[in-house]
Amino acid sequence: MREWREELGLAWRIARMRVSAQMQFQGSFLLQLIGNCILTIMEVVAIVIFFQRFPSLGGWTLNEILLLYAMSAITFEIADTIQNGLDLVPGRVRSGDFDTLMTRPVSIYLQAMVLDVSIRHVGKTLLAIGLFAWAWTRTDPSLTIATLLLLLSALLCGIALFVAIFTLGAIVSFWTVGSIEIVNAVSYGGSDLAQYPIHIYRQWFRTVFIWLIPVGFVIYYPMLIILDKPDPLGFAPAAPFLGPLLTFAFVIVIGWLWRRGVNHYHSTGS
Amino acid sequence: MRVYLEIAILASRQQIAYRAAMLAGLFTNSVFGVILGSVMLGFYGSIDNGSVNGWSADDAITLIWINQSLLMVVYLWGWWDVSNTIQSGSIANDFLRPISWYGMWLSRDFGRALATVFLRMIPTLAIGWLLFDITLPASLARVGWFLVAVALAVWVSFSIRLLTNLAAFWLIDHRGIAAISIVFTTFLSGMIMPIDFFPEPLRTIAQFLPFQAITMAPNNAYLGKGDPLLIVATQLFWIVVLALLCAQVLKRGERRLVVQGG
Repeated sequence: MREWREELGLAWRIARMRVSAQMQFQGSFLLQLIGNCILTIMEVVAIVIFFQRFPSLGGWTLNEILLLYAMSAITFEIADTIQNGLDLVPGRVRSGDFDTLMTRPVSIYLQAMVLDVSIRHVGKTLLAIGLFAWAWTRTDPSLTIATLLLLLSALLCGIALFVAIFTLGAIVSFWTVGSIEIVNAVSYGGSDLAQYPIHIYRQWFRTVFIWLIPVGFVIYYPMLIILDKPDPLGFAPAAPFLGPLLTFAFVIVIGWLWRRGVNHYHSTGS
Repeated sequence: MRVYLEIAILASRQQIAYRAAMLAGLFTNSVFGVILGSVMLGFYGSIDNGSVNGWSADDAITLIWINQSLLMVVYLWGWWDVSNTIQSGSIANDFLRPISWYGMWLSRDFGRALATVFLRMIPTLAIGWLLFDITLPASLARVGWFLVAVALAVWVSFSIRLLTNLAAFWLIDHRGIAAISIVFTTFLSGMIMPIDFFPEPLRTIAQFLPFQAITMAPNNAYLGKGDPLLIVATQLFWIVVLALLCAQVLKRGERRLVVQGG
């Protein structure tokens, strides 16, 4: 336990260093922050325009969709902030610089995560939280202990899953120098598809994102239950337990693959 | 003329060399085609598959997949090649070449685009047809107009990218410009939804901006919406206007250019 605390403390110190390094370039940071926010605003405007032309999406109203969108965006942005360093792993593996991580007395995974800490996601996260609060007052679900637990489950499972998917991108690079764009399609695609009610997707597509990569499951069902929406897929009674269970299984598999990947790593270059 | 052709062939060979990346990209386009297509169908389900501002559900689904297939052909994001030559100073060498600077970059871009038509556009459309039963072109003439509109869309997109790249004469960091240009090129071009869905006056504004010439023009030509001659003429108009604008910006930028080192 003490070891873990020390390791987390060290990772935290590295993370703080990276953040203060970024703040040296304030203009550039501001532009990225604005860019990040503009994209989110554009997506929300697009949803609003869609709802000017159509009354509902899969039986969900504009405010309900915005609540789901905001929840998905919050988990994805937090996960993206946490995992930022993992993006750099493929490059380090290719160049052989991954060696440095193995010589230090801190968990390799933690070090990989803080290889780069980007705070540009802060803007989008805050925007999404604001949107969530706004949509919450508009949909006005009853606030009970169960609601809070469901929200917490959606948040934690969502973050864990997205971080795990991003980790997969790094893992792939231990075996192949090829493109990891396929993993990006799953992470960014996963975040996009989780922004809408999953019952609008086709059976085969849904199956993949419920059972294999449960991003479609862990955010949709808590929101469906909280908003008291009809349940076309019929998982609602089991979902509060099934979601975390599927997430746990996915994370375990990714963790195992990561360790195998690190063991497989052979340094390159001189 | 021959030298431009050679440049184009070289650029398209470069694209073909990255076959694994092409396959991965195809996968990405398909995933997003399925997601956005499902959302579109979900919306249309709420009005019993009626028509919205002249767009049927079939039209809208076809637009989603055409857009996915065009993404890499018109290459709206992440092209900073010219900006890089300004920052490194190698643009000075490019100016010294005995060929047109604009022509050199344009033929490179056409070469790149031609390769992606075969590697990305046609396969993505085929997948869209298999998974979502998108509308096939009604006639051979439509196919012809569509291809012409795609070629000109590449040219319009190239002109806009060139302009944003030239900002490097004045700005060190292109990320701010990149973020703002993504908003215009995706949203106002009709990448997310047909611009006919926009509320007024946004719809009229979008119609009179060059961005629709990148996305809506090929879609309209494919689906037979509007006079194809007018579609193509509008694209040509923007190509000329943007080229003149580029020439002006380049002239001002050249005066600012300082190249160091020996």
